[in-house]
Amino acid sequence: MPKNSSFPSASKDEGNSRSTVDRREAIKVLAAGTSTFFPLSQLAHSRVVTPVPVDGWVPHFFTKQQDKIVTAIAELILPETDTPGAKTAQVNRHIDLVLSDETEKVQRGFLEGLAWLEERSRDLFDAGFLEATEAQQTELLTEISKPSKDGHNLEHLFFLDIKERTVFAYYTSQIGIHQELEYKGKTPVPKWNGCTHPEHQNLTSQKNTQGVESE
Amino acid sequence: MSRKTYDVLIVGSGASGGIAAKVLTECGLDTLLLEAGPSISRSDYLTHSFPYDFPFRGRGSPSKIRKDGARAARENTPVKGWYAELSENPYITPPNNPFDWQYRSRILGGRTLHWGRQSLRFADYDFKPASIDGQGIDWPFGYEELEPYYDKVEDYIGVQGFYENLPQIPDGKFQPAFAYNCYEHLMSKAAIKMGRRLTALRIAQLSRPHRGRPACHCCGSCGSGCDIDAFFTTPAVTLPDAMATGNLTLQTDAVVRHVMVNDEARATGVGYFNRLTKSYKEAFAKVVVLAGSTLESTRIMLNSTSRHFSTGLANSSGVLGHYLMDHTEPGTVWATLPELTGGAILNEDGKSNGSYIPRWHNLANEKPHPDFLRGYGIMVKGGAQIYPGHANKIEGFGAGYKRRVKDFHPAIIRVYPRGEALPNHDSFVEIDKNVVDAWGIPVLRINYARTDNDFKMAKQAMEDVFELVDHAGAEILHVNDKLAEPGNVAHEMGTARMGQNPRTSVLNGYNQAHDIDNLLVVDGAGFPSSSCQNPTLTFMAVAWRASEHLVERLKRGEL
Repeated sequence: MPKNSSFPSASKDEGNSRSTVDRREAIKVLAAGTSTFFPLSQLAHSRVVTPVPVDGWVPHFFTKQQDKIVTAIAELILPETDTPGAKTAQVNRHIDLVLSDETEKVQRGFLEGLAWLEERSRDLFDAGFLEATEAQQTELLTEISKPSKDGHNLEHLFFLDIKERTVFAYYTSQIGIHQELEYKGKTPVPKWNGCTHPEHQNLTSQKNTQGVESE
Repeated sequence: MSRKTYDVLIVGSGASGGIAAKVLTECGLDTLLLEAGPSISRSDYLTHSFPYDFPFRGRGSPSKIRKDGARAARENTPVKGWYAELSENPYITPPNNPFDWQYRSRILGGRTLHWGRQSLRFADYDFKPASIDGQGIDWPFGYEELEPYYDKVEDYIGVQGFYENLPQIPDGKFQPAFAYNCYEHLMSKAAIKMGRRLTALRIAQLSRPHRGRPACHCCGSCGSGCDIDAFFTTPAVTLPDAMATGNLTLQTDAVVRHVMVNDEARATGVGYFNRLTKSYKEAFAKVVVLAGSTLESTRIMLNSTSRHFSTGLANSSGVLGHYLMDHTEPGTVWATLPELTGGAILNEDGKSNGSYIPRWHNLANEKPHPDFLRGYGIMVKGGAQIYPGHANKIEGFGAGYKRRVKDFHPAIIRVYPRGEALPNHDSFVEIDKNVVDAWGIPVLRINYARTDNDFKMAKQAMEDVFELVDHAGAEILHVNDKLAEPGNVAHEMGTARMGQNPRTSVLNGYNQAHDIDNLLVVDGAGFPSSSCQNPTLTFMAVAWRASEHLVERLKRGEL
């Protein structure tokens, strides 16, 4: 099958979509450990009146607080360096849009992951995630960025989920494509020259190729 | 109302149906071409769009993905039927035995609108597998009989490639191949160290102007459709030629339900539904040619039950629906080439093609592999693409992580084998009468069955991939060593196979049904074995040959 990969898709080229589903479904089990502290009624979408940002964008799915946490996590995953990071690329908006259209199960799993993170931050640092220092936030993300020995700890699955959403949103944004990864395609090329580096050339690959133009 | 009877009626406007339409109309036959999907024009293509041009970045909304499947949901191909929508075109698989049928299309041109364009000839030995290793049946004709048709198809559609003089991938009529990207030079050196030869994938994508079509301008957006017709599609090439004869009547939005037969058990035409109004209609012809793609052609035949054919059309052999094959994909290794890591990011996407190590196991005059029959080729792809598929395969996060994603971006290779699937009677499709599509037509239940050979071949294939990657000095980033889900490679073949023996095959050597001489099936359904090479070029060569033979018979008044 032609894996025409010029576009990101949910095909296997961009990761195993089935394991993603499993992971997202698994995250719902996180509720078992956290629902005491975060009843679903509070986790679920409770829109409060929020100050409207300059361009009028408001989250569809997240609360303002959740949106801030997601923005902060995304920026920790893909921070501003010599190019803008996830925050400037408005990764949070894309994650919000996609989640707003997901099944309730997926939505709940994600919110419970966020809630677990907030609770864990309070346990460790005596401060919510947004109030923790960047070093503390990094420490917490580092903790869940690694699989446990059995490889299936749910916090880690949540990390992989939000990382995957962040990575997709960032590298499909104008910033990700043009500034960070300097994409040069989707432009008509007068003549295709291929690799012109002498050190890479394999001359034998040019032999035995009657009808082929040499470079 | 007068009832018009065409000379020939073709079902399906993909690669095979398009070739049949061209050949038959150019030979003067009054031809009706029915396509289940809508028409399309180049102005519908979103060729140069970027992911951020779409709300869901090209991927499609989760609800659309749930409803119609991940492929049909894609936003860069917004024309209905580009990929068939699952909600309208459901199918059934048994529990725990999935089959991925999302790649199919229901649109004028079918899968040619977005195919990978890889155009390798089958080898001489691919046509006589049973004679070589005893498994399956031989084709009713050999390579030498198909060779002139391969020549015609390549000359007609335009294929670029290297001449290699390798019996596994017979040379043909090629345009010059595009120059290699960096990684391809490096991987060709690695292949030599391994004692193998890497070549550019032969591809139906013009490197020079050809028959009124321009050369590819290397924009690298082939999956969204080619807005200059540089890659072969039915609407760009075969259909205009068929139209120009004045002998073609094209009817889109015609969802065929069944083939009609008369009291003499001969085909008289087809019954179909208008896709939009869902009204039922019939069309009549002296000859019916099915080219709806492997499984749709077989589905039509299985749904065409009658007094003469209670278990499906032309099924006196009982093998209709059986021997479904899809190429195996044993896994993928993602790795990075140290020479390119951290280097400049070039426009490598524009070539829109990869390279290939042809099969080398179980060739003639060589010692057979102790564990498996047949063989596989290895696809080598890489270079900087628009989306860094490796990003989720790198652990960690933060500035260092972001740097690694970028450093690896020009250095990535993806290496995956593609293997031949053996014909297997237990791998079959049948009609599920309890489930119907949007037009009330009963759908397929697809019961794919792997063979032990698939697993044994996969094991060796992955070992070979690791060896190749090792010779390249590449660092492995990610390994997926699970056989891809059946159907995922989207090279469906079999289910109405050709053969000499009417008791064990559905079609004869000219794609005519043994039971009904005015019924032909000219797509992949007729393939008795699958080779390990991408099949579309062979679909077209076989369709061309069958069509020429049909013309001869009609001219002799035999049908």
